Amino acid sequence: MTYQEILRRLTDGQALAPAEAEPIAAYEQQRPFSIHGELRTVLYFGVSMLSAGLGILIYQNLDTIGHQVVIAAIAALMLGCFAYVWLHRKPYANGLVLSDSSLVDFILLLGCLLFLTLEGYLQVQYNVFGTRYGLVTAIPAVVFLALAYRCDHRGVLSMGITALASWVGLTVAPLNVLTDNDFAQPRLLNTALVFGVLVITAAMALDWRGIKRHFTPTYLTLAGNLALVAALVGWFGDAVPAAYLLVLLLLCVGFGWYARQRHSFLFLLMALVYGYIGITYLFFKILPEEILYGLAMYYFVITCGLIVWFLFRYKRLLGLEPPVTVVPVSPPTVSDENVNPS
Amino acid sequence: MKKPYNEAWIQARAIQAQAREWQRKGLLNAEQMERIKTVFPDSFYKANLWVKIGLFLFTLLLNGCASSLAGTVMLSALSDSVAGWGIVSILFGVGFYLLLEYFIRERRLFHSGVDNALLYCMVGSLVGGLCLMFSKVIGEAHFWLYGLLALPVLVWAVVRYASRLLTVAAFGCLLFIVVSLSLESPWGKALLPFIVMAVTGVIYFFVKKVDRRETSFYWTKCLTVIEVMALVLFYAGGNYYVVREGNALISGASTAGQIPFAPLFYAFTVLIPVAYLGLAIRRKDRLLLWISLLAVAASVVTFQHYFPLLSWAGFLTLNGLLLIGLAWVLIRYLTVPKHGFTSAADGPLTGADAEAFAIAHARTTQPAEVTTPLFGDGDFGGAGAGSGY
Repeated sequence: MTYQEILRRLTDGQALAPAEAEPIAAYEQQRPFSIHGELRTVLYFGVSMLSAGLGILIYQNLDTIGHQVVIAAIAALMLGCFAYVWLHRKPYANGLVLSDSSLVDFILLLGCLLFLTLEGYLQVQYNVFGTRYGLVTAIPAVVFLALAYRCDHRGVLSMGITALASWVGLTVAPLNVLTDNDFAQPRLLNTALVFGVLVITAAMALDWRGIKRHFTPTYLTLAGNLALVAALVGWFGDAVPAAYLLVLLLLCVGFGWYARQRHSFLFLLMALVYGYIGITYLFFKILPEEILYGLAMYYFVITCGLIVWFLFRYKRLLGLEPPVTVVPVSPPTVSDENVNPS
Repeated sequence: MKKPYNEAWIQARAIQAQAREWQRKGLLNAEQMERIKTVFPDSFYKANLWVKIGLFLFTLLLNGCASSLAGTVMLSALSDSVAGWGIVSILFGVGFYLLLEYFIRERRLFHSGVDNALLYCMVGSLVGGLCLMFSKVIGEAHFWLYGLLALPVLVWAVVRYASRLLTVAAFGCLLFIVVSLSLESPWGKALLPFIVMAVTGVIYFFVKKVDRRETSFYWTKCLTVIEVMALVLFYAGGNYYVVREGNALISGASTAGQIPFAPLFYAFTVLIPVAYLGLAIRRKDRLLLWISLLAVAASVVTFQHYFPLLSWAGFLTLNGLLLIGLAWVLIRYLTVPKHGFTSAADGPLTGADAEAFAIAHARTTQPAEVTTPLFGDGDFGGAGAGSGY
């Protein structure tokens, strides 16, 4: 429908008086066609292509340029990024702090990426950290987490969590959790579980004290997914499976509770999927084969039916109806008692 | 044909979305918004996106298990033949159809996960069943005949349920038939690019014609999908790289050699993106604009691939600089709107615009309403952590 049609319907249905619709029509008529998004995209691709092209050119001519020059250039660029972010900083607050423009957020992200590049370059070329690999991941973890909290940046926060996880030898990227982590080693499995649970606990403790509550979903997605996968793999293994099942179910219940509290239904879905896999495995494990043969399909039909029924009525079943007024997760502006001059 | 989804509610949904946009820009106040919501109620079942995804996944699983359970019972009655499988599958399709209609009517579903899953299962069962039933007759020589069996089911489902995914499937199916048919004759093989361009071109102009009618509102999103696919495939049909590589693929050559009518395809590769871009600017058509940008990029890469004037590093650097320069110049030039274009974001009214609007509004409505602040409240950042996460 065009805006004229919509306005016509609104006035026909007496939702708007013709006099109220008139300025809107006038506005729409004179409104220029915005190519803001398109130009931004072109600019973004231009920058990416330029940096890729320059990168290749530098790499090809490294002999004539020299490592020191390249390192100095990367360091200068990185410092420039951080200086820009510092000049545009806002006072710290426990709530959500929006920066003046998305450019500041973008530059901060670029600075952090350059930090990683510089660190990797130094390690590969000059072996600065030697064999202290822990340090290589611990430094960015500390720097990124600090920056994430100071500048309120969820992208940098996920980079910090990723660095922290690789410090204990883990991959947290949701799609690579199962492929990149060798859970056949029970030690790594337990590390993942403990790490996940610790990070979730820390995140919930911070959440409890009202510190950057909008960071909690990021923590829960990355660490929670890791812990859930680890618990599931442990439950499928045969060391002490019942303990893993218990952890898995506790995590699922916790996620469900959080989803209900904050209306973040990604976590409800995660709890349902992981919990369902865990419980289904239990069902198949404890029942003898002769019974299973006839029963398995009925099990799936009945349980899936129940879940669909539950999800369909989730608002009523979780006590979210009648329409709840959504309480803002965090105060949108800087309030006085939370300001921490730094 | 009566539409299963209540069209008035879909319209109400579109009206409310536009009204919200106006409210965001400060053109409507909260009280007007409430009035609009009561006059145009959207009574479909509403759920959070993640809940819908969950509903979709578990409904799919449920359908799969339920039908294999029922299938084992039914197959023992029918003799275990391929045609028997086909009949069972079609019966399931009918079952899914009845369930789908029931749930849409009684539970007011509208692309809420459950109906999507049922719809895909229905179409899958019907198409699969038809193919199985006729598999003995058709054999494996003329594979496109299966496409001919699937196409009516797909088109019927698209017309009835206006599903975007099925629109893609139907378009793909049609193109598959056309391409397979042309490949059966040497003439068709030689003229394949032109056939693809002709078919997609005709479809595009047909869709553009239907698009503007008020009666085709129910299918707006499907028509957009067809438009995108037609434009992209029309370009691909004339693109030199696609034609040359495709030609090698068809003839089974190991290396893609020069093709007949090469200059013609060079011309297509240059002219189609330019034509798209020109049309997009003249019509102020955002969809066409995005596709034209992609087509320009594809054409530039095509020529770099066959006639590299620079190394790839130089190519990237130079084009990066050109793009940055172009974007920079246009952003500067269009800061103040010119020729109906602007580089500013299409956000809430600010500054002089807001004042002008407030004055216009004050002249047309009672002064009491103007005192309520119409603008501000533009808090729309916060990628993802809100209640919708």
